[in-house]
Amino acid sequence: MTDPLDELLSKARLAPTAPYTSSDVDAAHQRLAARIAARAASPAPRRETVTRQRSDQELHTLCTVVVSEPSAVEDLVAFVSDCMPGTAGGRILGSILYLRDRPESARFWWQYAAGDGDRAALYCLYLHHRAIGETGEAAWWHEQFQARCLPGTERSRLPALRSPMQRLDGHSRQLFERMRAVDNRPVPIFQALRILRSLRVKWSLPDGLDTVMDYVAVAVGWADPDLDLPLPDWDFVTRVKTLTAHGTTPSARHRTARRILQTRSTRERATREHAAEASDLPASRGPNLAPC
Amino acid sequence: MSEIPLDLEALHRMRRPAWVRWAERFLHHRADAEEAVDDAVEKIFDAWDDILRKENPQGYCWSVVRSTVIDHARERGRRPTLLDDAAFDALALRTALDPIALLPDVMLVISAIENLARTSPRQHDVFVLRACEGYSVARVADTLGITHATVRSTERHAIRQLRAVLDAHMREGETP
Repeated sequence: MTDPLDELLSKARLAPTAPYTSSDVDAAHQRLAARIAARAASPAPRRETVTRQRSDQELHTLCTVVVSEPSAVEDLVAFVSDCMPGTAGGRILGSILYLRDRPESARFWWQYAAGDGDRAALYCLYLHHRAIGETGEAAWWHEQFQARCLPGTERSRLPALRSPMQRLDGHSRQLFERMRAVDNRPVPIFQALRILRSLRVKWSLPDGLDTVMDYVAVAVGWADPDLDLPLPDWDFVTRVKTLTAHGTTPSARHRTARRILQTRSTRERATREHAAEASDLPASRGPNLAPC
Repeated sequence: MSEIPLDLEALHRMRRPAWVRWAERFLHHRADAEEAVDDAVEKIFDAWDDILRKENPQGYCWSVVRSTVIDHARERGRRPTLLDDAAFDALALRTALDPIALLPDVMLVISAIENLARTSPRQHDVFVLRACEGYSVARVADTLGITHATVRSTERHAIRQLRAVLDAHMREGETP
């Protein structure tokens, strides 16, 4: 006797649509080629392309500022270690993943932080969707961001303005000092990002953060289809602490990072080989969470 | 860049039929689906150099197509869901002696699939392509830019989720 649930699921099968032939594909390709040729003939960039490029640049700037905060690594370690992770670590983890070209994973962690009202994460999501042309989603996240900026409360202050000024070059530092002398009010986030972009502010990341970011990018992965979560390796906290140990020279940190990544690569290869032998078993990976 | 690169042309030719069929389920008309996919491919063209540097270019192209289709559905004042029209394309309805009696079951299943889109877009996409469209594992893997093993495990998880939802619904119906 057929399982009634299986029978119900079988009703999801849809009748096929009209065939899509090679002539249809050829016609589509010719349309596309004509569109692109027409655009090449017109020198002005499409407004949508410019908007998306700007949004991507602003998001890149914002993420750089977020990860440059003095407490960024500490917040990240605390985030992965805590039973009830706060939002700062989610914002930082998302920004690191974005800067290391992991936008899907980044989006997840921004959403985590945004769910608790983190304004930087909300703005990251707005810029992210704008950068990929998802205008509907971008508008929604912007509404959420503005809802967090209630009248009478402090407007979103970009972390940059609290960060040590010595990481800016001389010209940018002078401009910021002059701005502060004229108007000491908190700068709206979108204005701050545009200023930073126009100034072409050159941020140097704090010592050691580069190697941590490289490690994070490979240590966070999609563990299990059931969870659909980008989770860090089980030994993430230990590895990050090793990479940021006090008194370690930059060259020692690079050697440590190389060793960690090589060990990880060997372990991943072994996991893949094991998975190939039993192809239906998911890889096991999970956060280093202490029992509550 | 004023010409379509050969690698993008190859990808476009291979994937376009699946992309258009996907768009048609949400936009209902072939012409609207063609327009949405044309827009998506143009976005892919604009970002092609960046896409090639990503860890999963095919997966990224799929996400561009998917989100462009949703945007087009919203612009037309339509909800970007299967429920609006695709339910009436169910094969079971076309072959049933009494399609009206079958409609509640079909709507229930499609509604459960819609809920899956909210919790796990990947499970939703895999299930729609496998169970609704009847694609092979290989074809789903190529379309979404994921491995065969991921398709199989994701489908299993999707079915598990759907069965749980449908089972709960059926038990509610049994409660006096």
